[in-house]
Amino acid sequence: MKYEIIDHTADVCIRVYGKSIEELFKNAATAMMELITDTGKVETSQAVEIKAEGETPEELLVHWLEEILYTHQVKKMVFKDFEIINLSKNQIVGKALGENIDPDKHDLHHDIKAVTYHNLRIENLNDKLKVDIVFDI
Amino acid sequence: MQEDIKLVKIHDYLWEIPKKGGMRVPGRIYASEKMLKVIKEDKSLEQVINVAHLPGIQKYSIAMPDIHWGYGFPIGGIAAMDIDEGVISPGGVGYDINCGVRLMRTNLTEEEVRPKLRELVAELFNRVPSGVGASGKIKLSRNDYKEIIEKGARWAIERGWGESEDLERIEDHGTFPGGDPDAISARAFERGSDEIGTLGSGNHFLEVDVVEQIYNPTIADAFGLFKGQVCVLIHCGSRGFGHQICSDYIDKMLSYMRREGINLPDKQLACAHIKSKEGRDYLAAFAAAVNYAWTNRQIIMASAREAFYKVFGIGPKDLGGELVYDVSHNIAKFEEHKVNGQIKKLCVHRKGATRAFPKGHPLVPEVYRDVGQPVLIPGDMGRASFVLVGTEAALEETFGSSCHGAGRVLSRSKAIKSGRDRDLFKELEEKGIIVMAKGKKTVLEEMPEAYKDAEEVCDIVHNAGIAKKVAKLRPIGVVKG
Repeated sequence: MKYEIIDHTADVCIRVYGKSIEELFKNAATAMMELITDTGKVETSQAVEIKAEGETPEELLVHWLEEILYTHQVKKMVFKDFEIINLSKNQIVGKALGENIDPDKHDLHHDIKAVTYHNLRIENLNDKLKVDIVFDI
Repeated sequence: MQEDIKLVKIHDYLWEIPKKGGMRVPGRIYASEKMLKVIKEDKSLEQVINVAHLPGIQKYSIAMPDIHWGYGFPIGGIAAMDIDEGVISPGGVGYDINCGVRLMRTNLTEEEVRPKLRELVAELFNRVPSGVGASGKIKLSRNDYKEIIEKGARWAIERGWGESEDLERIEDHGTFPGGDPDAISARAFERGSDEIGTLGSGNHFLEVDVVEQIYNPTIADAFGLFKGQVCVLIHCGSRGFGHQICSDYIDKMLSYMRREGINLPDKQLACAHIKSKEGRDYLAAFAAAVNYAWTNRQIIMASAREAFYKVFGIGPKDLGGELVYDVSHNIAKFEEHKVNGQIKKLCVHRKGATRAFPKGHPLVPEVYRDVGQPVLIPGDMGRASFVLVGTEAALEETFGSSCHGAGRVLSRSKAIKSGRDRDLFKELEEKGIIVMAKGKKTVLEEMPEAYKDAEEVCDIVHNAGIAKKVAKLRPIGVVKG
């Protein structure tokens, strides 16, 4: 399982898994986009470079998701897939693959105001990594 | 479940969490025994305890009956900080800075509006952009931003969206001082540039309501309300501009806390001392977003007036579309309050809580100084909203604050699951409520059953004395994002 939606009264919480830190970041981005729109209807005709920095892995994760959210909201794009090009301790460079929003094709379900730090902790389980992320809706 | 949190009963509507561990003050929750059971089902009481850890917090970490699990602060929480030793927390205000509610009265009655209700709701829906990523007709230049940051709602009025009298009925006359464009990121300007005059999505709405019941005729009269009257209730905030400012400053404050060695139970409580550079910079950016939100609600109200003029073929005088009041419920305010018998200047965080000042208070607008400040409590889209008035007891006990809404009980995913086979538009129409929405999913998420009954919440604050009921509003038309 890449991710699941966890009950949260006011906002939306997702539990994301990954076999590696790269996969965790990729799955978190995909999960966030699936909250926003039906990614089955998104073509990957354009690629946008996404860069972020952070002092801790958790801050890096929040900033990575915020960069994608910003590109979605301001450049009016939706994404289906993500590639991690380089992920180091304090920096990530990746690609978001998608297209411009077409109101006839893409229904937007959620207006994510922000990615929060609420109880955010990347946990190392036996064979995978796990993190719960709360989005302010 | 939070069964293990110890609660001491103070009276039928007030409970205390005694100070323990790193808590600097006790927690206090306004709730009935029945509502407390619901509150205990999520993690909001744990969040009341976490807030009690913040440096400089005074008296109590307070929660209202509509409290529910947020991020960092609970939604429905109040925390007042000493301005010398205390902190300001962007999460304690919320991402949607100065999210709030405004109520506009009219001279029209339900009988007059009902025959053209569908046309009215459609006109409102067309004039007020709503939904995820809604763009408005207004594109803000850097100079527009500069003026909005300085003037707030006055900027909109100078451009024809409203009357100068409107300013007398907004907290702080619709202008929050101290905003500084240099404290704001390019990204925040970019996110907010086409969103002014738009509702957004989630729990934001524009409602056509009817005054169904008057509890206090003298005060209702002072507020311009009468039974059978049609009103408009608007709920929204500072859109992407405020969201980005909050995100930017949470990061700056996490660095500040690391540097200063401040440890808190939840990172989302990120904060900085009010007098630090980070604190002052946040307040300068925050003030700008407060002014943006007031401008936003001002433009939306002006659009609502235009919709009534068009549908009913009447002018401003016949409509009598006057602003009753505009309250902020995601906010931090510098106010004077009594602590241990002494008057102190404090920074009061109201995260999902409304100011509720009594008559005679200098910060209550002159038009209401003899009766007290209107407190506006929106309900869900199928049930009533309420108008209350601030009290002396609120000033004594809750830093002059009261509840802000119904408060969620069902998560969004549970609401969607339980409503999958229902036609909520039809169900509400059968109850006489016409709903128009951009997103069908939003309507399911916002279904009445997803919320506590605002009436129960208002009864608790009324019985506890921290606001008094004045009027009950019943929805007949709803515009959602």
